[in-house]
Amino acid sequence: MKNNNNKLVKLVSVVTLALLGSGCNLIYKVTGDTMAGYSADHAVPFIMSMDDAAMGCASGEAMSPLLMSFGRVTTPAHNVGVLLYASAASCAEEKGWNEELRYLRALKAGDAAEAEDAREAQKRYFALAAKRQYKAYKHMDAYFDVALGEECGDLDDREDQLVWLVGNLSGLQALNSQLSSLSDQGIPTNIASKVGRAAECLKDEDWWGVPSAMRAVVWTMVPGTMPKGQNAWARLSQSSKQGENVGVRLSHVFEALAASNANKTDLLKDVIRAHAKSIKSMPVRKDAAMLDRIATMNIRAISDRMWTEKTGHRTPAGSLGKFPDDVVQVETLDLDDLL
Amino acid sequence: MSLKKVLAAGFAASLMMGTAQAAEKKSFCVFDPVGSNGPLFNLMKESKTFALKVGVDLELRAYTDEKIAAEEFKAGQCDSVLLTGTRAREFNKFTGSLEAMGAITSNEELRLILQTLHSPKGAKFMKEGNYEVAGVLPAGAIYLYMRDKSVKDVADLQGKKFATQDYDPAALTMVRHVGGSVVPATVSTFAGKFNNGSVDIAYAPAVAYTPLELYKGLGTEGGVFNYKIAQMNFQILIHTDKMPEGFGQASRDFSMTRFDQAFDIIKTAEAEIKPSYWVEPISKDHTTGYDNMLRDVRIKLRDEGVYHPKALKLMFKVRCKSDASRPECAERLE
Repeated sequence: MKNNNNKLVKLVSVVTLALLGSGCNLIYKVTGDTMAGYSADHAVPFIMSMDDAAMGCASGEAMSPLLMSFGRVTTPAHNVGVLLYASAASCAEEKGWNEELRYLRALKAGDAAEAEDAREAQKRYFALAAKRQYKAYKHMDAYFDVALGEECGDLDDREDQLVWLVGNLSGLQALNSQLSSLSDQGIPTNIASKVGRAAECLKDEDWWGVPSAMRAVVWTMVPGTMPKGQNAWARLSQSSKQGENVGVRLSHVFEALAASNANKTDLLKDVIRAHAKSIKSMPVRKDAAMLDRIATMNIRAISDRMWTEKTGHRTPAGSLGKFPDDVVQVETLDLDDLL
Repeated sequence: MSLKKVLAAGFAASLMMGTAQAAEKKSFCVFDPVGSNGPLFNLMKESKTFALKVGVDLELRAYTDEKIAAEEFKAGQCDSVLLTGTRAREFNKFTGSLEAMGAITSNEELRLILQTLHSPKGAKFMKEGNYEVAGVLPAGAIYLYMRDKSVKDVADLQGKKFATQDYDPAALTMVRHVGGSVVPATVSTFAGKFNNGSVDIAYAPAVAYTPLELYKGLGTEGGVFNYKIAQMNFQILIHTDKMPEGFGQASRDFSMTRFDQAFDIIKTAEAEIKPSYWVEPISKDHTTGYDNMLRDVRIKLRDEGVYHPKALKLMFKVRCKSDASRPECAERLE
């Protein structure tokens, strides 16, 4: 009898453990699905509507490990992953920009050792940014599961279109960051051409001119990609205006990037001026405030670089859209009559 | 203390002074087909800190058109410039001959040659008039990309359209030598022409394969001929009189520290070419035949004044050092 009881206890224990084990898995799975669903339905739109880019970056760094870890127990939330990693990359990018400013100040001061150190630090941050941006791109790849650059994903929903837009944008950024890092982060160098073609899957009127701007910036950067009869600069300018008109000025970043890349300093200044003017005169579109703020961060980073090269410090408060070598016309009175 | 040491100490002291005093502003015009976000421009940014140490404040400007960069350098509007070896030939025939067809058959040979030329004993070959080569960076072996891989031998190249850098007499001679038809192209336009079928054949280093999507032109029928036509390179040139004394050698020392990185990039790029695209020469005899053909072209171009005889001789010595059994080593025509 005692023997039978022992057997029963053992059996109950095994069954209980098995139930508990599967129960945990079940709970994890349900939690994971809930978190993924919640993130896609609420957290992402909420973050996209925030106008605090620093918090967007911090939330990307903080939330990515937790939310993406649910991919171990349930289907990974690739769509959320795209946005999280893209946000997390912006933290690394901003640190890289700051190191670049330190580098420029050191060069200006003739301090080669400090400049070299800052440049190395800058390269490390860009390597990190490249990795994160490429992860965002890979999550987009996994989410849509199509031959990127050759065909469009299933883009019926606006949420999915956002994932496509941010994912492809991240791919382009990943390549740029890899180039700035002077290291091999495993980012394929044909990604720019693929992104240029993938941008055709979205409509300009739905996405504030960004798809055309993405295509055009690729044309200016990858030799031989611009189709006959197209004008990249005209497209970029048109896209920028579209963005200004609706209060999501992401296209300015592409126009500025292309202008800087092609040494078109006057155009670059005009783009920065237009951005500064627009953020004062045209209110931001509420559901895309984060993207607009990220655009401003990028534009300000370019302005900071220009200011630091000339003066040793970044753009002074209230001076975005102004440049150190601007000639300021100051009106004065004629004092001769008083003498 | 020997005279050499005194001079070296003096030079070091002047370099130290350079950092203490305001650095002299000098322009550096960098050809990069992508622009200031491109790989070459980013790599050349590294030279700013090295230059500062020798008292020069280098101002980098990106040029997507190599011809304009070369012209502005020639006109004195750029104190220094980065160009492909082909464009650099008009400023230094010796280093401009390092891209001679078939003259360098492996990375090891290239490394040995570059290390030698970048050392102080190679300095005499780096100067030509007021121009000085302040660094040569390897860009990788040039391969033939064919839209139709049924091309198996030189005879099959007859009548094929080649995307050709027609400002390069060596390329023109070669294409005509094999009976090809010249379709003018530049570093920026050849890929588009190859991918859209305007030409049958393009030549380029492996670093162009992925970014310019040459696999689109290769499609299902194409192939990459696994024979190193030449070794492409990029060269930094300076107007000697516009730079502080000793800048050229200091820059060459700096360039030498970048060789490993350059060879790593080349290795990665070559590994990206899909294995099924590689087309091997039919036999060893065929390879020897190509070697001989390229040697004949080199000698012809040497006699026409395109290639520098001493550069060809140096590369001949290195080829025979790495493989003394090459038939040319007994013939000694270069």
